[in-house]
Amino acid sequence: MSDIAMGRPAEPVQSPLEGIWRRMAGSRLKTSYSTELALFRSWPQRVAIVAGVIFVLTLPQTLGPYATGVATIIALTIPGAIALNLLQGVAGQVSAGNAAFLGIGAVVTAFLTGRYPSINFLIVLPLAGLVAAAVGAIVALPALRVRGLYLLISTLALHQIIVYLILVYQEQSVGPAGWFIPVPSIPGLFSIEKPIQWYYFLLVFAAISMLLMSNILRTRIGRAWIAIRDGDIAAEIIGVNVMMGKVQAFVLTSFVIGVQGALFAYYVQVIQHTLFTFDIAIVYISIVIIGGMGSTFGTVLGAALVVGLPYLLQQIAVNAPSDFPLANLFLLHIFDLQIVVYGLMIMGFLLFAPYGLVQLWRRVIGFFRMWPFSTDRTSR
Amino acid sequence: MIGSFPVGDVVVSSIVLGGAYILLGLSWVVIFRATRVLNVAVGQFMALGAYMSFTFLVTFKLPFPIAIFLALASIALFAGLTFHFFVRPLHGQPHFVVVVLTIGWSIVIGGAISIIWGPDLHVLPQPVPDTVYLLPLGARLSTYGAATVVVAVLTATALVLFFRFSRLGIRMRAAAELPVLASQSGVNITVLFFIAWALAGICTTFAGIFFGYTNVVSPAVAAIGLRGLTPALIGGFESLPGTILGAFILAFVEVIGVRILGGAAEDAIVAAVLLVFLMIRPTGVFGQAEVRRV
Amino acid sequence: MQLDKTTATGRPLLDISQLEVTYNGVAIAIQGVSMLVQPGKVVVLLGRNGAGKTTTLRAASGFLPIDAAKITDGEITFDGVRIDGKQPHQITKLGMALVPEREKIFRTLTVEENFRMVPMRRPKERGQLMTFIRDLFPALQRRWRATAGYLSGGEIQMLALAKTLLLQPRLLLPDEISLGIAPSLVETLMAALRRINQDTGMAIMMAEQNAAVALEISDYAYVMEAGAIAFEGTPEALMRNETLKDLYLGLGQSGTYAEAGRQRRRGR
Repeated sequence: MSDIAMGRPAEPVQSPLEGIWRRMAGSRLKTSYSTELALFRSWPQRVAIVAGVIFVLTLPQTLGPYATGVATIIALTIPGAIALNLLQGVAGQVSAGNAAFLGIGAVVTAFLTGRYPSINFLIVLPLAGLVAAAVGAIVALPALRVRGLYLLISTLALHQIIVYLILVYQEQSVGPAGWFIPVPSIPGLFSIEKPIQWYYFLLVFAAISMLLMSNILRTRIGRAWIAIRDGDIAAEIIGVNVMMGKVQAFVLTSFVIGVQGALFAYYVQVIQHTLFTFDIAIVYISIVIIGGMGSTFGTVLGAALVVGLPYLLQQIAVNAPSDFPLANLFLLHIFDLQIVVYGLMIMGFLLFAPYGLVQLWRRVIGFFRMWPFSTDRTSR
Repeated sequence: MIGSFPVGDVVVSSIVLGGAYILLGLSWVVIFRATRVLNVAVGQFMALGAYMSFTFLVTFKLPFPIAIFLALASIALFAGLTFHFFVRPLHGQPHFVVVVLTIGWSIVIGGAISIIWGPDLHVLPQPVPDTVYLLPLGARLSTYGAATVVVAVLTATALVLFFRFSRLGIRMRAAAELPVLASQSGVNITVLFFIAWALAGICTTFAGIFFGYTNVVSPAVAAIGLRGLTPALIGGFESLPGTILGAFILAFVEVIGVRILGGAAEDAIVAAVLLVFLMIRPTGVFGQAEVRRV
Repeated sequence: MQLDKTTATGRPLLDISQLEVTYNGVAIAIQGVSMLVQPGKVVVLLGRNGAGKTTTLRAASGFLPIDAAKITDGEITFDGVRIDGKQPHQITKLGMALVPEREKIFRTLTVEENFRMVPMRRPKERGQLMTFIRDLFPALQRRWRATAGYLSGGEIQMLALAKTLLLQPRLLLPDEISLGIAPSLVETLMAALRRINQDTGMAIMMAEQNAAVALEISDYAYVMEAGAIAFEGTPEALMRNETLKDLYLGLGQSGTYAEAGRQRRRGR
């Protein structure tokens, strides 16, 4: 407004030096294009990433089978969470469609492996994704037509309809027992049966989706999506076809979730319509919000927390000393307590840390970077 | 009966179900009009209303009028406090933040209900025995079904008159449109919003009570609450008469649909009606499009 | 040319002293602004877009937080009471009311409902005040039951002004009420303001870009530029300054402000 007229910004209340420190800590100023574009921005970050990769790769050996099981489920969850994160970024709205597209992917897998028992999983995965993407394409235009909460409402309705259709199909084909999915294998090479094999297998997909998210925003399509996210009217003016962009994002993310649905089907080996509850859609939404919207790293943190917390609570309940006063009550209601804690977690983040774990993480890092200056007005 | 199709039964069932949907739809609309929030926890408010009624009627053995009044008052207060502690602090944030918060809150309430009251089904004691009246054309009407419709229509009428003609109602509409301008005029908008949520709480409690009487009190009650979204949408989240019409349309389609497809299709049918209206008129059949001179 | 701080009527109604307002913690919108409004007088803030007129009014009426702005220095006193930092409804209760530039009426309510929703400070006078308003703006009377959003621009402005009157302020703050209004209607609005001031003794501090019409009814003027007061004085004093007239008032080489008004009406 009038800062140009005044010719200078307002003086911060503390010393000028602190003001400069404050702004630099938040913005990470770059000094050249190459550093701007680099994927791995600084050597501390590279070290951290390498350490993280080593930890993840050796997790079964260091933490044992129980933790590996939990980590496997987290890895299975990641592609869908990342897809949702991307979609919400571009569409600017919440989507409750994850469970529906998971179901589509799973049912396509059931259908294909039922019809063609020897079909290779490498063919099934993309096909599942394509069917999910096709459904996404049909629903995208009407769902994204209006801004606001209409995507949420549309996907909510879509969920109910898809789940019902799955129920009908199940009743007509295999009955209440559900579909049995064979073990994924490449004959003569390997088959994925043991838990540790599943862990590394799903890790690959999690890693692929993470790299996809980090890199897609650097492509032409991705830059258009960023423009849409940051201001769709402005994007429209400079020639970005906003509707097309949102539809593309929706179709692409539906594809990913469909593939995830196929993976899920192979993993659990039995598919029933009751598996695809609305709660699952909520789980994904909460992962994105708790982790931090727009952040790949945040999604991983969020998935770890949301998926892992019930298991953690269970371990606490099971291993707590029996003379702990409320132990019995705790155990009795452990399932409901998990639910309450989960709900409180969602609310807590929204009320106190709306930018998610990533925001908290950055505050901690910022504290160390800024020390010995205070950080009370660093990040927002 | 016309042929073997029980026309009378369908019509009466639709009207009774429509009554319940009116109450639910009103809850969604009142909250949305006042505070621009899609309160997903409405379903759990309904369940809570049913369970609180059960507690007052059975556990404390209070007389029917007192028990019902306490149930209404407690949920009205609960709804108002939900607004005060959880929605107000999020003022200024994008809409979906508050919606997801209400989703989280509904999860918490659901878990709490399960812990406090357990998973069992409960039956509400009837102050007046339920009689089924046989009407022409094969229709059957139960006392509590009739009561549902009567209460629903009375509540809806009261709300319409309240918002149209009373000074408080006009102020609430003003505060919903431009909170800052209303505030400048000396109106205490926080109190107004609290009242709006409390009114919605009363509507959901009525719905919960009647659902408890025409069915049972169980955790599944909460899922019914979500269906109120459809009539609310048909009314464009603005118009109370539109919501009422939407409630009857939905009820009618659902009754027929369930006859054809079976009970498991209920939620899908409601969803399909929602999608159809979303496609043809996202702002609702009666909703006011933005009143702006170009 | 400073007005004596204590005139015959006693202390000033509104006393703004060394006011500084900052947007988003970084951009200073106005700095070192000092103004007075005496009871029953009409004061006008003139100046270009972005000069700080609206910011000053919003600061005085407590509307700053909406734009992520705050008062970072200086004081505002209304009838002896410090009001900087108070909320809009508190300031309204004390007797000062803003007629905002945008978002000034409830478009989904009818004209009648726009009036009905206002709680008055002295409710017994509602009938009397409504009669006065209907007399002031006959055009509104014709549209009494119409939805306010469908009114014409001029009618909306009249409604905004009228419903603020119901708050019975001692100081009215119209913010650019001539914006986007046809010239003949601007005359009507200014005449209404003059009548309000003369019949009720209500003081007025208005922000206006239309200098000629505003000066015709004002007792004192402050000309703002780039967030500070560039000139101030009575309309006569301002009109004697040729540079001022050219640069800020757009009045060229004309003589008195009345002459300028006549020239303007003749289409120059």
